[in-house]
Amino acid sequence: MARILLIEDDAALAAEIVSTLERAGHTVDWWSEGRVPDPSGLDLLVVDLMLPGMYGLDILVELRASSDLPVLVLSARNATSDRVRALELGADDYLTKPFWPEELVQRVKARLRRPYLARSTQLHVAGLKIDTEQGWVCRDGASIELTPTERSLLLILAARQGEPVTRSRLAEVLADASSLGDRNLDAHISRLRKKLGPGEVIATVWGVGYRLATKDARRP
Amino acid sequence: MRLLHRLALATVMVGGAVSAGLVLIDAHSRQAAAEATLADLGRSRMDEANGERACERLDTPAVRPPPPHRPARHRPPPPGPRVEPPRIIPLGPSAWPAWAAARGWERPPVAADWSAVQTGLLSSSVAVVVETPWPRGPCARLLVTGSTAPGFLGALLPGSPVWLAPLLAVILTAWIALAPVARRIEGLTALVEARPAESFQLPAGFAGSDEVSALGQALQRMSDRLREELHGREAQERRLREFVAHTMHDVMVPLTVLMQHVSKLREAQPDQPSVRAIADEAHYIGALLQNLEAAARIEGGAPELCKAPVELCELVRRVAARHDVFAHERSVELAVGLPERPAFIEGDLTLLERALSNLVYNAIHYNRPGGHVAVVLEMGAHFVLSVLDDGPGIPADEMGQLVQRGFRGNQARSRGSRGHGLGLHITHEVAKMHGFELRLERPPEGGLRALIEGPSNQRSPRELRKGIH
Repeated sequence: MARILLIEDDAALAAEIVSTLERAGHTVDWWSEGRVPDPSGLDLLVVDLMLPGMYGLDILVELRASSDLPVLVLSARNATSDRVRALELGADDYLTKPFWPEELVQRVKARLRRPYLARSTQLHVAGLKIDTEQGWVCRDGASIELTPTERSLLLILAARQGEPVTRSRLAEVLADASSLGDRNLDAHISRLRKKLGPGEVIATVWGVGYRLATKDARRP
Repeated sequence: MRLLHRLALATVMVGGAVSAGLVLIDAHSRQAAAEATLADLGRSRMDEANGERACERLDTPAVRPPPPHRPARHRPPPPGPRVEPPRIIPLGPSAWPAWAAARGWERPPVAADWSAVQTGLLSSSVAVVVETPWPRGPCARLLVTGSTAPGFLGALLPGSPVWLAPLLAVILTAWIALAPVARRIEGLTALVEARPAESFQLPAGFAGSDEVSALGQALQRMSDRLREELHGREAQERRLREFVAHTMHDVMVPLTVLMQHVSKLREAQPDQPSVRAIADEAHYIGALLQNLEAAARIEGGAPELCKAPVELCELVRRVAARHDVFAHERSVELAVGLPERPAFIEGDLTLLERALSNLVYNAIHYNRPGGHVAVVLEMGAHFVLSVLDDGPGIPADEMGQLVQRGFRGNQARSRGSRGHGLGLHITHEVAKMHGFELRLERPPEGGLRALIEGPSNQRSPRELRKGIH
């Protein structure tokens, strides 16, 4: 999926990280010493801070002088000042050791979601096609009629690309913001679900609200 | 100016008493001398006169005061009370001149030789009554009057108040000697209070060789010793923190490698209980180490917050990502509900992450398979970050105890149940340090809702920077 450069001096850890990221579908190069990479051809740099050769932060500073390449810092140093410094110097994310490989994969994916221009305005969920820009929904080519409220609800969910949306946020679009808004919301969602047809389009999220049942934003 | 007040009061009291005493003694002495002299005068006149008949001549013009004459042109009258020349007035046995009675003089009882007339201690008029050898005639007694004009016999104090001068000189001396001392002591006090104990600085201009300077120098030495000790302690604490940081680093790397392997093992044997247990414990060790690091910062001498803008949505996503594996292990669903736009607050990034992580860990740990945990962030003038679960919750009385003890569970409970000990305590302390509120609630449908609430900073870091620069 993406070309990633990993700069990490601990060989055992590096081997694991490379293996994890390759299993997630990326191409990974590995350096064990610190030096400034050529950003062209790379989609992401994953760099440790404490490196022989050049320190991770120095690499970051030099890189940032000429490139916008996404950088994810890996470090055992958890001090706030280190993290704030790294972020100020241009790091996009900071992952503290220890971490699960799944965590790394998720964070890498999040960093690779830049730039937003690549984001599609059309979503496909359970046989439905939703256009978030123009606001229409259709299944098998047939457009689905929605009330303005239902459309607003659906578009909010669609705009969040599968991330859960809180009940209070959804309730904002309802015409009457009374205390019965909550149950009112459930009723609207229920009607919306019926209209959208078979398959799970809108998933209930316990404790939060609802989400569009695309692949989970967090899970790879 | 208490010292000087006391000095003023003392001098007034002592000076006043001494002066009054001197004046009274002087007056008494003069009167006594005058009385004795008048008595002698009366007796001598008596002896001179030729018997009783001569007594009548006592009041003759010869002994009468000379008539007032034209004042001498060449000499002005002396200052002070008018000098009354002595007069001798013959009295009958029980006669008493009306003018004497009018002046308040009482007729003294008959005495052997002579007796004084009480004219008042401070009066300058003196009078005595001399007994004659002819007690039945018109010359039974002689009233002799005079005055204690300055220069008269018996005077202790000189006429003019020049005797007050030494007294004033003493008072002035005391003031001149003590007023500067009082001021210097005040100055030293101000210097001591101006700065904290360890940075007391005696200015060069304070040098001197009196007791106050000695005190100042002693205080300076004490302050220097205190500063050294404080620096020593600070250096020690710094070394300790560095040691903790380095140790953390040395432990975290192998732990991370371990976790990567465990994860692979889990994929290969997802139902192996040992593998799941290893994953559990590895996660707990990682969390515990980071909690210990946070605790070292919080419980240190001067817990400092490294404040910066913190974007809460990202923070929540990171914490959720960290716990996804753990939640998956426990078959607990973990979901987040975030606002659309970035949500900034002011705070310490690492400590806030720890605070939320502990709540999320507990929510998953105490839950049962099939349970749910939701992390929800609501933004407004305040932010409310809630961790909601449908686990067993915390019984009301236990909740009260936990809150009371600052969320520090007792030893047995800490070891046994793992969560209520350090994690919740750290969350509570972090909230307190930030001025946020941590609340634990029991929702009506059961489970637990833990929330952190505090003021939000609706501006982004870029906007904040624009404001600063």
